[in-house]
Amino acid sequence: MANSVPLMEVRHMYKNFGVTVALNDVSFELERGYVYGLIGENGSGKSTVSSIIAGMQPASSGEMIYKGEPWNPTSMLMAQEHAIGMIVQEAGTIPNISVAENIFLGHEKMFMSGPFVSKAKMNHAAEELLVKLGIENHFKPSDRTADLDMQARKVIEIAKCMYWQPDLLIVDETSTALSHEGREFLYKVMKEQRENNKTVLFISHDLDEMCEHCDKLTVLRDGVIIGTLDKTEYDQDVIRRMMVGREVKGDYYRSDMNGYSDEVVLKADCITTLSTLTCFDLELHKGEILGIGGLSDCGMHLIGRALFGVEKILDGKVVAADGSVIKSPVDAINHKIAYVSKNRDQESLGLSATIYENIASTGYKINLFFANLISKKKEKEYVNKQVKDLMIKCAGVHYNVNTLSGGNKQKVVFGKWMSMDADILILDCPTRGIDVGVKASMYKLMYDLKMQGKSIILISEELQEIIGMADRVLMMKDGEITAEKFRGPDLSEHALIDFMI
Amino acid sequence: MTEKKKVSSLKRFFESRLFNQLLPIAFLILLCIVFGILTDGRFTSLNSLKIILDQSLIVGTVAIGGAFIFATSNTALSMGATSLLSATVACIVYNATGSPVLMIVTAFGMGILLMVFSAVLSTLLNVRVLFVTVIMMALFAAVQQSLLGGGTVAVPFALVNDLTNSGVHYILFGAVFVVSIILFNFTEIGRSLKMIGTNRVCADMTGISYKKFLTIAFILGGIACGAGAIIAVIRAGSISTTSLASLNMDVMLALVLGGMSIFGGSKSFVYAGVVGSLTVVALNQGLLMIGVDASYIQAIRGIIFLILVVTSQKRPKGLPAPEG
Repeated sequence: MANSVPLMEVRHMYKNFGVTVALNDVSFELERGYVYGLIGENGSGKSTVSSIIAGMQPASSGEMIYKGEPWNPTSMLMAQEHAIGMIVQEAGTIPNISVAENIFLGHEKMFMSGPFVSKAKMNHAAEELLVKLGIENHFKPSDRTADLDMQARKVIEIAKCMYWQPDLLIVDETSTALSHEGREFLYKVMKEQRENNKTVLFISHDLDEMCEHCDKLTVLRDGVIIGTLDKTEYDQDVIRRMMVGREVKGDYYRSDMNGYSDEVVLKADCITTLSTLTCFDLELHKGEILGIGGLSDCGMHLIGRALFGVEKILDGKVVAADGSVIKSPVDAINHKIAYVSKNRDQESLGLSATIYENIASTGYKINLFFANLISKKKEKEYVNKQVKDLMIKCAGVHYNVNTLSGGNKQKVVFGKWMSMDADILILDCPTRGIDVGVKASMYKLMYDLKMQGKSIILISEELQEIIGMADRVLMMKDGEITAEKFRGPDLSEHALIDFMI
Repeated sequence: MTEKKKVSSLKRFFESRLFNQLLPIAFLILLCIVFGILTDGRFTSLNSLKIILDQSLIVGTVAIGGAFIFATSNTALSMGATSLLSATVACIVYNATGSPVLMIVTAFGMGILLMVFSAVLSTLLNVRVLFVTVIMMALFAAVQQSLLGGGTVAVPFALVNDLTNSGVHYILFGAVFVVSIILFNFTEIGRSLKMIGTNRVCADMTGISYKKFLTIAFILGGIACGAGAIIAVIRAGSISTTSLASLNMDVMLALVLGGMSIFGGSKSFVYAGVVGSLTVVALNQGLLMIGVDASYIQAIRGIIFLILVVTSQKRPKGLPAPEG
């Protein structure tokens, strides 16, 4: 199917961010009719190279040849006009407008009716698109985007991108925000691209998914291409080794069967929230890793928020070990409860503040030297210990958090809670969008914490992770617990999946 | 290689916060030198510099308090009106009782009361500080006008003389400055306010209560307004409906000129108010001395403010993050 001239050719590309070298002499070709995978750890340069192709930022040097012509895009709009579409990692929809308005954002002129934009025309065009993609049953063009869940919003982005019928579709870390159904839709779109003699550049952390859907896999490490594999050569252990540069065992979950104590440290007593949860009960024990799994809208994320005192509780209560009621994050933190949000950048980090400021933010009442005066020395130790223990890769602690890669950002979030020595950790999708190396260290950390007698609630959309780490698993559907399973050799994805759908 | 390293460490310095905090001082010194040359040294004479210092006391004091509020990424427009109303009531109280102590206590009390009133309205009704303080600005000015009936309230010259000679205005400024530096840099207050300004949701989920710390910021702002009010009375001896008219704008201009982002957050610092107020006053004074018309000075100040706000609005570099 491939033509003789490649669709896109990248030659000797370099990119520097200040002192950081993000891309170092990267060259590759993309031909028509293939799904290409780009894989590597956080900070390896995957997003950088794809965002350069899509016109989001320029390269420091090197050249690109697109359809036989030199390609120097100045904006994403220009890329879109030349049939290069990109679905980005972070949420790219505007909440307070309709689905149709999001799809045609920036192109409202297409639907002018006199001096006004005709919503009817726009909705009609959007409807046609949704039907064509086979997703018309999920939401209506006139729906307000804010009322939809994260997954639906991601699907809107995919639809928005596909409207322009891109020859080159770049999918950057999109599948992490999608559950089973959404992923299937994405895979279908990618497959159709290939069948129509078009090209996909797919970026993901999920090795299984990459191996299943990509025709060729290119591995990046520290901005350098380590190698490219054909589908016949796929071997997950080999790929992992190429990514990390050292031997990584296939199984990085815990392998022990150690139990936990009977002592209840946190309890949800018949809590009812504004949506989804009605008289919900839950008990967390000392030294327990409690896994909660289900589809993204099953209410499991709400539980994390409710236990930490963020979500408004209409009836019932969250009770700590000493019997006091948790009503706010302040109460929760006073009882040494920590919460790692699913929406890391919005809820767990101050992006424009430094690494130091973020980690120190949990220690204002701890690092004191006299009365309420903060000791800079103690604070410095408080921060540096975490940077060292968690091996946070940064040029210095006084750099802003938004200069870090996703995995390192997550480490900063962990750092801020580890440093205050939390006894209970509520982790909502803690390894989302994080590469294997960092993932493995997070799992190790969770295990160590458990062995120290700390309790963990692990809310995750990845069943493998829950099975691999949890002592007890709760499966949820529509705000209710559908199954309770215990750690054991028989526990498998197959045995759990029926309880969530 | 070493050459390259030198360049990058120099670049790092330019991007650092230290540079960000030193730049306003350099600008102030440069301003003084330029005006000194343009006025044949009249601007830099001891007498002229003392006038600048004295004039910047009011703006500086209130701006120090303002830094606490602006750090939270909130814009308070009522600090000028609060200072004015506090000064007016303090004068009336002195004239009624003859007690300078009561006058000072009243000024502080009024400052705190009025500012906390604004904060409580904002947090209770969940209305942005900006909108609440716009209304308060008009309301306080109206109350002040009805108290004075369009006239002036003056305190006896002897009192002004006594207070000036004992340096009360310097003491007040110094106290506000020192206490603020300590609270901002060495207690959880400053750090919490900056975190709120950086990301309010994240701050909330790190156990930093918005209501609590916004109220604290406004109490401190109120104390600064009270101190500013007393300094205003000491410097002028009387308060009319047109006193302190440009104070609020001067405070905002001072904070921005002092190197603080108008959007608050992690780059906030208290002495921005001090450096900035000196710069604002020096700019006014210098322009006047070289013969620029007063109405043009307003326009120039407006343009400078606009430029600084636009440049501080610059989006963070390196999007998307240099990651895989």
